[in-house]
Amino acid sequence: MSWSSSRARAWILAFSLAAASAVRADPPSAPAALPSDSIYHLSMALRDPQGKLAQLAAWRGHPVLIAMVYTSCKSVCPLIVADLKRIEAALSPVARERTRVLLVSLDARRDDTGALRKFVERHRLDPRRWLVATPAPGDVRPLAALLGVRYRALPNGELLHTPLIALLDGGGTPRARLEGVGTNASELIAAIEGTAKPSGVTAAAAR
Amino acid sequence: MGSRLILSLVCALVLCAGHTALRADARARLPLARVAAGSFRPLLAPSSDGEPRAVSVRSFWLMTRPVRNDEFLAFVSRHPRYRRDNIPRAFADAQYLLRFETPTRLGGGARPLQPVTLVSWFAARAFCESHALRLPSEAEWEWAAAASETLADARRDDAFRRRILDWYARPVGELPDVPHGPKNLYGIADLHGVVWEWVEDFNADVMVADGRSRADTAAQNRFMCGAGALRADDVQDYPAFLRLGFRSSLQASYTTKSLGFRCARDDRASAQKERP
Amino acid sequence: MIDATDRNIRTLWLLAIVGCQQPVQERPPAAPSVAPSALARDTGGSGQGDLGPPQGPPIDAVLTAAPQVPPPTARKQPAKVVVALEVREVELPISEGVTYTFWTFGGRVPGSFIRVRQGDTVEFHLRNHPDNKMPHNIDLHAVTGPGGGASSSFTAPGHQSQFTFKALNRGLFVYHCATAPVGMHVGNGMYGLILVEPPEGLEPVDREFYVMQGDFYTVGKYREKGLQPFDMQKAIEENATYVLFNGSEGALVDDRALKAKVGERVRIFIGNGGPNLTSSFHVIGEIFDRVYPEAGTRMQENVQTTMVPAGGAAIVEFKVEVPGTYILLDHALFRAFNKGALGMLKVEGEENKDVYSGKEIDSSYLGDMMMPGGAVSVAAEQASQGELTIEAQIAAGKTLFTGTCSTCHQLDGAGIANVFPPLAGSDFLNADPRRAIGIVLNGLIGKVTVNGQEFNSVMPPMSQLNDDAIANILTYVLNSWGNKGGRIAAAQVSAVRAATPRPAGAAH
Repeated sequence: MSWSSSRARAWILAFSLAAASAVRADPPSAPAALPSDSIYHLSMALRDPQGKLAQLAAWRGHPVLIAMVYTSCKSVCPLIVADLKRIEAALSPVARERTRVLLVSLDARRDDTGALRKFVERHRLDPRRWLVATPAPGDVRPLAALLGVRYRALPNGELLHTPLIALLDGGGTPRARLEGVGTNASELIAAIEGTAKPSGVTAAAAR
Repeated sequence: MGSRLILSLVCALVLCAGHTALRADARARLPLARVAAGSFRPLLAPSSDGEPRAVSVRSFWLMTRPVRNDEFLAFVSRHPRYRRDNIPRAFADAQYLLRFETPTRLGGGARPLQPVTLVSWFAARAFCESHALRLPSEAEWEWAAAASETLADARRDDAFRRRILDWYARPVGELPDVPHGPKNLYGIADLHGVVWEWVEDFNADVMVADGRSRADTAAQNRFMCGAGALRADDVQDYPAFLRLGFRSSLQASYTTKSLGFRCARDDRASAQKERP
Repeated sequence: MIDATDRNIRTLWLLAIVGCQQPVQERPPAAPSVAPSALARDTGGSGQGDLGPPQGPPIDAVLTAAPQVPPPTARKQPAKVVVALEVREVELPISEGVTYTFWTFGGRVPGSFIRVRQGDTVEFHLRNHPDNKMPHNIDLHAVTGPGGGASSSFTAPGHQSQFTFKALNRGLFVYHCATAPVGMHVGNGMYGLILVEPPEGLEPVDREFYVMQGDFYTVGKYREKGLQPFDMQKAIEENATYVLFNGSEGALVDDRALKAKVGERVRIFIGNGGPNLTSSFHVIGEIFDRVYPEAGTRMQENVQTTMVPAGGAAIVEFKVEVPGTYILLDHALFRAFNKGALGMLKVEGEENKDVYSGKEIDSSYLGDMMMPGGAVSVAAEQASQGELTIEAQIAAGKTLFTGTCSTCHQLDGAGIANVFPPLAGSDFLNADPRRAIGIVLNGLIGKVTVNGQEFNSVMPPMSQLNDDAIANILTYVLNSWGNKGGRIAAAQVSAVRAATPRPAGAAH
């Protein structure tokens, strides 16, 4: 039998799909180097403002500031963005160059690519270092749970949520948290500086 | 040639049957009962105008007792990723399944029919998913738990409330085999009096940790978008209040000795409902 | 906290004498205390509390269980102090034969006493034991910061939290769990005291004690046996079942009493966890030489009874001059005698007849209200083995009778003519001994003829006595002063208690 035949390929495809669905209950196996407490163990696909797929671990190796927002949020989410910009501005050039910002939407149903693009424009976010992306609806709560963000959908479509900025090191381990808006960020900034050093980026490679 | 074909067919059948039997054993049927649809005002009720509003719950199916040690052990055997020695710390804390004597054996400290505890939210979800089920939502769980043996909503009944409060007054002690207590209106037991239980949206509970600042909406708004949009409805419902407090103290990777779970599924008769 | 007026006046005189050429200083040197010309001004509160960064290595705080108090810090510099408190939910006795599931800081009620110095940096660790069911946190009234630490310390079972604060204000402060519903957590015993010493320390005394009052609400009535759950409705109505010092009836009684010697100066740090009731704190037979009301900085002198608010504290100091047993109580008297708000301070030493000549009333006076030792314990012990002898009943009954009934019926059972009927050789009693059970439980109002004399008085119900106590008392009475003998069993009392209604207001 020739493996290049279309029938064989169809079998291979069918088998792969079957295998993939059979292990759906398991989280996809992560590369061995991921630290035990890394949030990148949660492998999830995000849709970016261009409609392309990105992984949660897209910036593995970089210090990442991660927060959960939604584009139609009127009060707190713009303040979270402002806080992130403030923090970014306070970093040393080395740290700023290495650090990335990941904003994940809480509103998977309504934050489509159009909404994301408008959000990026409105807040003038630099796409080289800022990513706003929407997960699949079923992935929102696990990510929020992992980060410690609490949220609830209200009947009128609004989302009740706690504002939180978390710093992940290169391996995806949360290193610092900033709760609330307008809170003093000096400890977080110090943590980013520490993580952005060359040794900090590859920290905690082993369990 | 013919007999060899028959023989191989027979072997194939036997193997298939054996395989199916194994699968059936591993995926032992979990007992579920149907909870009728309802409308009720939960403790933290959504409100856009200051008046707490009722929440509707579609009919759904809920396990009639918490998940047991033997069932969870079978799960980690089939899904080694969730064994105590394999699971990433991001998904479960250091006490995960510590009652089991080894990662693959129950031992004396965990009887097969006791409710499984020391499980995290991620592990509980994965278990339910492996059975083609899910965790109940908080609204579903609270609606099912509002029922006594005879009433769908017995939350204002003093005797009902007192029985539940008494459990909070007792130390943890040894867990009973389940099912243990009386069945409620739907035939579901042990929603009260045995273990706390995970719900899918446990992190929708945004109770401000300091119990005195309920009135301080300005402070709450700083920590939460739209904090004023939730109204505590019946503050006399102390059991619900205690559950709210407990869920608020949890992170998804946490495990505790008195926290277990049970699974649920949609009622196929009612329309599919997407969860946020 | 110490009124430094005296010291400053003395300092001024000294300076005036020693250094005439020097200008008399308006303000005293160095010590952070009040200038005599500024009695109306304050000590600066939290504004004066930041004494700079902590010096030296971190110190593990010495934590003590009530009634012990940690020793003075005796430090001259601010330090970093590490405090680790573990929350435990634990079933303990609250009264004789009655248990309760307390939620505690450190395994007992009240929680551990914490002692630091003003300006110290406290690194606080709150541990929630894995065997607990409930989440908990802590609010220390000594903390300047949101919630007093409550929002930073919300902890699930099997986890721990940490936060750091600087003790800016001197004083004696309550700490308690502030998890909703707060009243329930506090009502279950989650409170204690933290002392922030002034920088110069407190004036030395001979004894320091830690006493904390609290009110408790159970589903069962006072002294109803068994494991009693918390009663939320009674707590809301502020209808306390028990009002206790240090978490159980008898915590400070008999062999667990506070002890001192004649001539010593005693200081009591008296706190009140509540949740509801304010205390009228009094020591029978003593006057407080000094009181720091509400544990503040100003001192009051010669006080008989001081108020300790719920969620507050006070400091009292007095010198004991005469030996004997002094009763600590909440002078809201029905709490003391019907709900357990009683403790003892036993003072030993030489008599001082000039100061007090009378014979002291010893513990048997209050034998019925507390958990007495001696004969009553022996009887209880025997009863629990199923081997209660009539001799033990009589001995126990005598102790109890002396403590309660003799007040009216007199020690020899003779009663008082025209007022209280006799029990000695009483035809009324001997005609139907079992009738007496109902009378002791439910009281007796109206005409009764005993030994030819008519009495028309009011005997109050004594149902706060439990079945064993009543059985023992009646057995003693039946076997004394020429009565016909016989014995009454606790089961008989129990049957009458169940079969008859109690008058309004009586205990169970």
